[in-house]
Amino acid sequence: MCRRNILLWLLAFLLLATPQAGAGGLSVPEGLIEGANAVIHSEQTVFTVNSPGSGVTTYKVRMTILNENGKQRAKLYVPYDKLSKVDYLEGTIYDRSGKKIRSLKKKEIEDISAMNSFSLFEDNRVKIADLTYTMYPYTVEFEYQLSSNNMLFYPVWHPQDGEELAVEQASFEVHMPQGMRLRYQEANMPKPGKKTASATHDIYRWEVSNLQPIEREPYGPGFEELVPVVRTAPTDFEVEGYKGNMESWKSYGLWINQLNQGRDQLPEATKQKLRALTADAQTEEEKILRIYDYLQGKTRYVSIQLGIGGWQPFEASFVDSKGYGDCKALTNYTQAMLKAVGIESYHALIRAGENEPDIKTDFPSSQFNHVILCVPTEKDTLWLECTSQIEAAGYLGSFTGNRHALLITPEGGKLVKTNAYAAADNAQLRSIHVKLDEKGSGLASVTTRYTGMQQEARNQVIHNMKPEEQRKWLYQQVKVPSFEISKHAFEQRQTQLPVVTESLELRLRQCATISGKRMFVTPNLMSQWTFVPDQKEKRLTDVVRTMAFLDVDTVTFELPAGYTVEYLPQDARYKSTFGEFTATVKVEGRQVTYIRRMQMGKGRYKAAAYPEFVEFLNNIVKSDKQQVVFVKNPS
Amino acid sequence: METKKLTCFLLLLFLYVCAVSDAQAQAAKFGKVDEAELQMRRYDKDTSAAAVVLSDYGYTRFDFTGGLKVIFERHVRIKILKKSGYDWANMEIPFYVDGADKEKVTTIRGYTFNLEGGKIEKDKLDSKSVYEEQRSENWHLKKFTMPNVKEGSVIDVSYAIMSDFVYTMREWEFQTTIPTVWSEYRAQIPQYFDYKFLMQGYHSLYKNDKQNNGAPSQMVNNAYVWAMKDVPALKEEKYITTLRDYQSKIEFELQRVSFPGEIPRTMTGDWKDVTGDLLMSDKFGTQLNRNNFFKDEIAAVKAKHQDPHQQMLVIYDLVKDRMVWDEKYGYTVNNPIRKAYDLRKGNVAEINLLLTSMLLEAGLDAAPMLLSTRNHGRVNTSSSPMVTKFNYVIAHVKLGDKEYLLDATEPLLPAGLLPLRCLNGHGRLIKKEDQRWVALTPDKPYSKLFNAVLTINSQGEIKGEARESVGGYNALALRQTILEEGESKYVERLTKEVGDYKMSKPQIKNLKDVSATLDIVYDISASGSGQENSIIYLNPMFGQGESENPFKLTERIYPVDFGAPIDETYLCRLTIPEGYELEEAPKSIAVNLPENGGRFMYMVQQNGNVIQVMSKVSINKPVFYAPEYPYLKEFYNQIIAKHAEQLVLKRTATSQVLQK
Repeated sequence: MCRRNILLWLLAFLLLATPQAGAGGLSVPEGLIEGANAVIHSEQTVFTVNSPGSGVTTYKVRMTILNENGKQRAKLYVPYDKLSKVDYLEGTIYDRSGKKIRSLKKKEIEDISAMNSFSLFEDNRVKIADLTYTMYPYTVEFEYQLSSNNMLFYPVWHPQDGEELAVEQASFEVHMPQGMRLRYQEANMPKPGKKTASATHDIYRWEVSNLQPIEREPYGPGFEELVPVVRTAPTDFEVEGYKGNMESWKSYGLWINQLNQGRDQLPEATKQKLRALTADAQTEEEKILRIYDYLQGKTRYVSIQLGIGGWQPFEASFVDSKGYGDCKALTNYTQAMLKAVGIESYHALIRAGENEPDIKTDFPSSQFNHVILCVPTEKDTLWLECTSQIEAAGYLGSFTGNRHALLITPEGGKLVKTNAYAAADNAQLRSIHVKLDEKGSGLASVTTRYTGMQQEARNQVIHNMKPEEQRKWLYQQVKVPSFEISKHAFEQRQTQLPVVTESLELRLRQCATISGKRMFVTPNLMSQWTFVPDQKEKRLTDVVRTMAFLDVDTVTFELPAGYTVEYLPQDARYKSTFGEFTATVKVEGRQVTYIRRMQMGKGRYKAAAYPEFVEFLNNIVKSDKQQVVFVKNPS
Repeated sequence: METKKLTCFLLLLFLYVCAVSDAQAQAAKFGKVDEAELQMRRYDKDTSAAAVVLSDYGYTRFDFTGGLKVIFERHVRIKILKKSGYDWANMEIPFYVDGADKEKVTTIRGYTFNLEGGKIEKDKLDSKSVYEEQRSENWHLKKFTMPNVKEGSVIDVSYAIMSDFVYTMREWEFQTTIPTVWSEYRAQIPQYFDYKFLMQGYHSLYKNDKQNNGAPSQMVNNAYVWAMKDVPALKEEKYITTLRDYQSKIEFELQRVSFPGEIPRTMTGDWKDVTGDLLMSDKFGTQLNRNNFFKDEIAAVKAKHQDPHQQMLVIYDLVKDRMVWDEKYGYTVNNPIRKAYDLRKGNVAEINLLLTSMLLEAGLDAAPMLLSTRNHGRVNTSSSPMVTKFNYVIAHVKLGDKEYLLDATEPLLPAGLLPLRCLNGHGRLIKKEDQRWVALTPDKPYSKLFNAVLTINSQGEIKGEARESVGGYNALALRQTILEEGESKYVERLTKEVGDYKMSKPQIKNLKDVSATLDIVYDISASGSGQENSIIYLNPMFGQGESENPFKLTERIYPVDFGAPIDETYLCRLTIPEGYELEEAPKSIAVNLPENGGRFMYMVQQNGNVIQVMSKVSINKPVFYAPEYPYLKEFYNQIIAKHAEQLVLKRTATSQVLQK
């Protein structure tokens, strides 16, 4: 059996290596498919705009799936919703010799709801055409047409939209009725687009050919930065009767104003209540905090997205009576409440999410997925996340911090930047005292102060978990060989830079290892760094680090009597472009004191600096494992 | 064995359920709350609860007016205590549609109650805010969220479901992931239907009543009441099959239908009938006879291999190579196996019935076997046959007195090894002449052997070679990882320096030969201190030791279910430098788990200038019950402590003199 298997695999390997002979009878330029799981032979996307309010996309692709890891590409997903419609969807599959196996049947096309898991209801749906097959390589063709009445989005063309994908030839055309202007932005395109004209339309065309697979690297830039992209956007557009212009951020903001118009009315009784609530507030900031607190107590986040409701908020009076809404609705409601007490504020459109790339600021278009509220105050600007019942007023963090947002002012849109967080803002400051007994076991009391992005996880845990679940969670977090948590407590200060203080009491089993007359103590009890990224021979892309942080540990051990130091690790001090690390350990009588400081910056560094990054982290790994060795005094 | 335990337990429950007939205080009235319920700030029996089910009433009856229907009514009242409990105000009501037969959700009503300044405020659920979603082919949902939910709110929701599926009674869950104060289910079952009741879970019934009503001349309705009081929240834990196996609930199994003037019909029958029916079924048994399209292929196999065992292996590989699993479960086919064969892909039933059919064609003693996967929940072998309890089918082969269980959905499985998802109690053999349960015991453990030959010099530099051999379920997982990532990328990823140790020149062996262990061979090196050391400290596990206990919590409610046994062996031969002696070494130990459940052995031996280290961890059984948990935890503590111990090498006095 073994031999037969090997033969079979050998055969498969040969077939893989020479797709010139197979792949549906098509020849592929040499070297193009090295490292690829699939190759697109040809792809055509044509976007025809009929009017500011409607357009049609036709898409056609022919590609070969080279192996098992490319099979998800033989499954096509076509999303649609209340404002768009799939006119047709067809597919055919061919075997390696180019012989047709079969065509996609209508009833094979799955049509399912594509709701976000956090939503209560949306009209998003998706059609799925699955042509996966088992004999590699095989070729699939797909073709579909999508008509849309939502012209807020023009296509963003990514001919190479994933790793391990080769592209022989792909093209993108936009047909604009004469008199309507297309706006576009090219990135990483080998050659620029061309413009021609027919009797009725201006035709813009882009082409790429022979794109080799791209491989992402650890701590590398976002994939979009590595591949050709053409972004397109309308000048004038219309969605469900709302007409707008996207030429500038200012005009895009005016369109949003239109959607929000008149939706900020509150019942008189509510206004009275809010005025009473803030009557004795000393400062404007205090008023804002009271309103925000009221919001957090009264409402909750429920997402319902239907048609234009994807962009237009529920009326403030609806949220006032039902107590729920999505990000737009809750932001709009908060704005209305602040207005009732005489405070001006603005919706801020943002692309939220940890590690989301920033928007393209020089290309006004619909690039956002979230709305927060911006409240300018005398000294400062206060940002409010209106969907959260637990966030501190003014804190943006990893979800919305350090990026651009579009303020919707009465004069239109205005780009601004949200707060960034430096290493000292994202701190983990820990002090531990351990009392060891004869057997090397002991009791540790640990106090850790987390701030900024390092407190986010604990903020969630405090609010969403019961004490018993918190303890379970802490058991997963604490990286000490054998221990029991005898006590735990959290304390929180929800200021603009929020702080969580965690106190733990741990019972440690054999914290120090005793072998014969010696005792080994690892002084870095809880903050050992263990991760070193993969080490490639040659680094190609820049190194990107998105979060700066500072960790400081101070650990003291009280030893049992009768031991003398045999070995003491040297002080460690490493400095690199990426950060700084120091660790010192001292022994005085029966007390061992260990102090460790690790500070990492954020930013973008040259590819050539990668080995330095790896070495720096590995030095930390080594230093963190160091042990102090004691010998029992002869009695 | 698992199943046996559960059965005993179920019996116990039934005994325990004596007729407690004192009724709970007045049933909650829909739309009317007590001020006390609104004033409640926390639930005293579980002060950490984010929300509590105050009461949950269900009532099922059969309606004969205008065609038989089953009507199910429910009224649930939930108290929201904390913001983290807000999600309990988002409701989903699933209902089933199958062609013209359907369930219909009617009269959804809801109120949110709040106490505002001492006054009870009542907000009605707007019927326009009820959405309908089609989740899958047959399952639909009604979805809505309650208005004005705050900390302290009480929500009241009621609805009814009219069902055409008159032979199915909905199960009732007494327990959910928040505590339940009172959960009561009533059923009026006409005498025509003979139902069996199946209780499951770790809590007992508070009330269990039966009454007959209707005059002797009329149809008799049997009225049942089951209730539970103060049911704690269901809690998730690691290493379990599925939480549903531990939930307190009651299920209904229709045994017999006897309408007046008709011959009684057995609905579940015994396994003999069920087996017969399954074997006659279009979507199951008859598929086994559709063998024309592969006759030649099997004839070719038989011509080439005479040994039946060899024939089985070849046919198993043939199906694995040809078919790809579409990741859908089920014991019935959607497409005939002929079609699946042409498409080269199929669901579990299509693939494994094709396999069974081919094995039969080859003249082997093969039959399909039903089972329920770990996520689908355990099957009770002593209850009457209910095919809906199964969601998977494999092939069973008997060669002489040896039996094999084959699943062709995973290309990387060697013959005889079932995927972990299938290791769940017992499977039922569907074979006319051999009807029985077959234990789904794992054929192979999670196994790993690490073997290194190393040399250390006087500066603490280490050089040598290591071989890792993984087998059983470890090999399956690692093969999946490597093939997904690509062999060259995986090798590149292995080649790195972590802390003191550097791995280089890795080579992967037997990646594609699934019947052999998967071996990875590589060089290990560590840079020393760069100077002569008079003392060298060394952890002889070289980074391979256990450093974290998988069982950190102090107690455990449910059994620990690993799925399969574990076997991990570490061997190392270390040559120490000339002029050094072993001053200290960890003491050898052996630790046993009770009843031969597992064993840890650790040994250090010196032979001239060679030190041999051996560590072996064996877990001999896949399931440990909760009382055994502390032993398991302590077992791992001992391993961790031992693996942390060090060797101390010291330069001998004579060599120190020579150095000078």
